[in-house]
Amino acid sequence: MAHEPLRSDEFSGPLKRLVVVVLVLLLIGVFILWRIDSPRVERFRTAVIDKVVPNFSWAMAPVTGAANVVSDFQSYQKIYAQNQELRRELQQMKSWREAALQLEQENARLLDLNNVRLDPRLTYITGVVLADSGSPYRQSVLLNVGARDGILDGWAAMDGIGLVGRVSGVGERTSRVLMLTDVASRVPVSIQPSGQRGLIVGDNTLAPPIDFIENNDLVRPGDRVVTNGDGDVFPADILIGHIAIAPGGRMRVRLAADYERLEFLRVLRNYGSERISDPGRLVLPAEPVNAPETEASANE
Amino acid sequence: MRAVFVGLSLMLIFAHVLPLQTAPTRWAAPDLVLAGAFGWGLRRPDYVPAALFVLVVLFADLMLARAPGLYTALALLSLEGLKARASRVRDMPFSVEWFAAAVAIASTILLYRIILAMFLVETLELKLALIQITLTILCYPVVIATSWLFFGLKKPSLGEVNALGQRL
Repeated sequence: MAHEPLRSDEFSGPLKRLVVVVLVLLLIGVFILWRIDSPRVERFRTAVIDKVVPNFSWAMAPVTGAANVVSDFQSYQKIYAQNQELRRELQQMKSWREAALQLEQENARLLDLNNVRLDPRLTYITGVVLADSGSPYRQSVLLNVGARDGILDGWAAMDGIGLVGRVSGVGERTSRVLMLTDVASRVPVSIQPSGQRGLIVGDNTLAPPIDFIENNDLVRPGDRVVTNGDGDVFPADILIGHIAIAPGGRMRVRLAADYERLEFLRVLRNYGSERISDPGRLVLPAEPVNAPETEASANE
Repeated sequence: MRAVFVGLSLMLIFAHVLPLQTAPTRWAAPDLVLAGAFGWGLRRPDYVPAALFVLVVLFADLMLARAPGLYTALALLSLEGLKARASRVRDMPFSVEWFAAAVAIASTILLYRIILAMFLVETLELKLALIQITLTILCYPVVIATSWLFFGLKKPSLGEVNALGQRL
């Protein structure tokens, strides 16, 4: 090479390399921090998403809508076949409806006879699905309700019919619902009518397998799978789906919720079941400090 | 053009998170942000400065529920490798450029998976990662063609200088 006049590249080159090295070290530091103290970094992630995504909902809604219109239009091609099928199903449904009405009346009578109170605290908040995880490895959606609507981590989310997942990560205006299909999802369930208990283990497929069943012989395809209240994870008796046997012989759950099209989700308020912590007055006398106050208030 | 790069990348990220497909899929969408950045970095290294690239990909990490930082670090290393090779690749046919980008894409995603496995982060289905790599590599010419058609991205011609008068 002939002598060239000094080029600024010769100075900026090493500097750039230094910047790259520093950046890489910083990023690896972030990753290791995430691995060590994941809740803190995940909170930061939630905060970032909370800041960004609601601002773009105006752009996301029309695009999502347009894409759905296109897919709806494609479904018009199959409309005749669908219509026939629907008619046939409607015939069957009519007979089922009669049966359901009779059962409902009977159920209401029996509940009345027994003076049963259904849990009045099980109410819900409905949220719109803003975004999904955007990654093929993670199954979660982002709702437009968050801490300001009173959402708490761990609450159950369902569509009209079945359980969809649990709230995992709450921002001020958004919350993330980890779906049953995610690999990190584990939900304790019971299987009706046999009453067997098991665990639904998400594996990134639409029909998650069900594990840890005590007696496989008692479980048949078509059995209902509902949540049980174990570990205070979910309120009991929310429908999840039905048992199906995969070709490999493994038991899987065909989910009742329509995962193909999640638009609105209900988040069930669940403040946990009350625990009996004090031994009861018959066994031990009331605490002496509180006793005069309760008497005074009783006298008023 | 740097603003165009950032804008395009953000659009791609938002397209990823649109709730069009909430059921698990059998295939993985290509990582177009990566393909775009590598293509632009190979053709015009000055359009994709390291700091800007890090900001964009780190944002994607946060949005797309990836382990934050790791993917960005690996992608940055690959990008810098490509940039260092950019002046040599410039005179070569497109296939050489494509091959260089393909190696960078594959090594980024595979290393990401391997390191995640080393750190015992649960990962699944190598198949999905392989599909993602293949699709990203296949999309690379499309990305380059699109950038050339709509954003006028082309290799610097002989003797072209940047705003500071440095040769490209």
